[in-house]
Amino acid sequence: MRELRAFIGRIESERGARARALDEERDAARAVLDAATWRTVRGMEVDLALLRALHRAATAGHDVARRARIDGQWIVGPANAGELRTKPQAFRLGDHVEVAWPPGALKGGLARLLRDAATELAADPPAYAARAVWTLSRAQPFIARNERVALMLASRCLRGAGLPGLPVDDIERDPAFGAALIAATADDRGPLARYLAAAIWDAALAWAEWIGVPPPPDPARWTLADEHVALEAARRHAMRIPDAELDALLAHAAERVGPAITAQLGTALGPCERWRPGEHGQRLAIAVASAHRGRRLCPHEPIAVLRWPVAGGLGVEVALVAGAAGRGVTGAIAMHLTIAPRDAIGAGIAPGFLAIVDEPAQARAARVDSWLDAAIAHVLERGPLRA
Amino acid sequence: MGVSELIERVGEPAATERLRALLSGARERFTAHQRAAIAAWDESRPLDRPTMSALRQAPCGGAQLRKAARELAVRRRTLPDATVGDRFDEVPEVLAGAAARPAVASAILWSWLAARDGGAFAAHLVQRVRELAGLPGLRRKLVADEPALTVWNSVPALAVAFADRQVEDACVWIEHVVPPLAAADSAPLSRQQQVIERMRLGAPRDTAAEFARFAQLAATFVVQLSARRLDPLGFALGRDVELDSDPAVERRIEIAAWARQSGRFVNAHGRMFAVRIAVSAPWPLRLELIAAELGVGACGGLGLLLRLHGDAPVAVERAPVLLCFPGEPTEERGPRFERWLSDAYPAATRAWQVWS
Repeated sequence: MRELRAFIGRIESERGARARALDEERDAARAVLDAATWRTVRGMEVDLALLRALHRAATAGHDVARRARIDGQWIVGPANAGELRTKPQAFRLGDHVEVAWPPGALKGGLARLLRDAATELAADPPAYAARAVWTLSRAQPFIARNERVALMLASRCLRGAGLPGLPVDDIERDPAFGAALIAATADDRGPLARYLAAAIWDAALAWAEWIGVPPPPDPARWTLADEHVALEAARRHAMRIPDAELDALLAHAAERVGPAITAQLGTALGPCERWRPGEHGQRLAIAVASAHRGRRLCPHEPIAVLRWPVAGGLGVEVALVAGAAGRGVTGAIAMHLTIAPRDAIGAGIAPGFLAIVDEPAQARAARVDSWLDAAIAHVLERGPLRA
Repeated sequence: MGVSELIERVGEPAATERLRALLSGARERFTAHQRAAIAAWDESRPLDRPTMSALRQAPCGGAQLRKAARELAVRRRTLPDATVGDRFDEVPEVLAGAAARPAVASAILWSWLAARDGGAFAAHLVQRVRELAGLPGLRRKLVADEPALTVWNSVPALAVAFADRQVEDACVWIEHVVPPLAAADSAPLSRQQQVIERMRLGAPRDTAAEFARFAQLAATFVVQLSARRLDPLGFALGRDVELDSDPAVERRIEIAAWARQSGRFVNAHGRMFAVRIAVSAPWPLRLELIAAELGVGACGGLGLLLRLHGDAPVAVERAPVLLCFPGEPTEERGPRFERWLSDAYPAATRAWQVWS
């Protein structure tokens, strides 16, 4: 995470006050908070008062809430915004029920968690985020919405540590998050930490895809041409992964994709075709198709496509698409994997990978390996060749 | 000035009568299936049903209106601004003139009541005006901070804005007119196409020569905006304008697909014009004005769309459309075109921001 922190710190330092204000607004929305509350919690110490403030924000507009009794039954009662509970309660997620901490243990346990924030975040941010989320889920300090408060707290802590905030709503709804949270124990929070580490990289990719150059305040006229000039200037100054290093990364990925998909699909893939579209129109077509899969690439920067035809797949092909993320102003490379008929408009979000110049090539390649495992499983499960 | 005098003094924009004529002709040509389908579609609106029911009850006096507004506020959990004048007692008189002058009536009601609650109750009255005038209902929420609707103190300016909204909502209505034969008729596609074709031929629209004259003027206007540096594009436009009066099949399909992605339905078979203006940009780009029959082409007129087109289609979030009435003189269509362009040009440009 050190490298990601360096990347984010470098890009943020180059952004003006107006751009940073837009970033803050976006962070607030992703944390499901209004901008003023987000600013307030960003300025607070990591302590019990912060937790109370987050719970008040999470329960805003709700007078009553649903809580799980220790036998797992749901009951409805007052939401008690910002107040620690005083009655026994359970942590319930789906059909999983665990008795939560006794009310008397809450203050001490939470104080220990919050006291360790600074040191543990500096050492291993995903591990601390996992500890915070796990602790709040098992402690259930409030009547309800504890998992949401936990993710808000993790988001606030990660942002304070120079990492991207988390998309609280999306993660809370993700079945993989629920499974990792249920599987985690006091002694082993590894799967949850790995889930959150992947979520942090995804959040960084989403930020790199979103980032642009905001217009000056109250411009007399801000045209598409002005925007292009500003973006071109930013793109010129962006620090990129050297071409040879990127080629090596793609070759490394290509070596894994063919055999892994063949093994899982039970159908051979044809030989890999490498294509670097030279015309803007071709790159734009790829970028627009990528946007339909939820991934943004810059058509003004080089794009590479690796394609494998699926034997007997009626024109379906596996493709690994790599190019400058978003508008190309961060220098980061975004990759995504698809399995679809050529030129088809996709549906759903393709899993993406963020490659940054700040990360050593070896570490990047290792991360690609673990990303590909998940990405291949994802595209095969949702692609057109699923059983 | 009394209410009836105000209604009389403010001229109803000519577009209202043209729209009414176009739609009444279309309704006469509809099959029973089309009539039933569009009537069912008309039922769905972004409005509060109890409020609409209250407004439809006759007689609807000031007291009933006040009560309906109060109940709407309760249901919507809003607190109307009590400092805005209470003119509910005069509303029935405005509604009495709504059938003949719907845009003016809408403008008066909006100017009186929209500031109370962000336009929530006034929007229902505007819908009632549309019903009394036999015009398609609201398809998009009317909100008080919409720039064209914030000219509170000018009923004539508001009347123009409401006439534009009437036409805009009618475009959505036209796009949703279903094909003439129902699935229950088990008609083969070829028969459905024959009936659509017959219906299209009976619908009025400009001839190629008439539309070409307007297209030339419109393109010249857009080029002049660029030359005076008043456009949202910023890249210079070429002076050569290319008009394609009958695009090839592939281009028609591409245009219809782009329109669909941009929230519009145009007929790929019907009359279609594409005006192309070159753009001097660092990547291949051109500006296109596209005129095509809306929906299945059953109603007549042409819908005008604007797009920036590169070597790959880039959809607009929701492309604004200008309905070109058949036989509409330039002095009427010109100002409507300018107002439409002030929405359509930024929308077309915005779609390209992420690719710039």
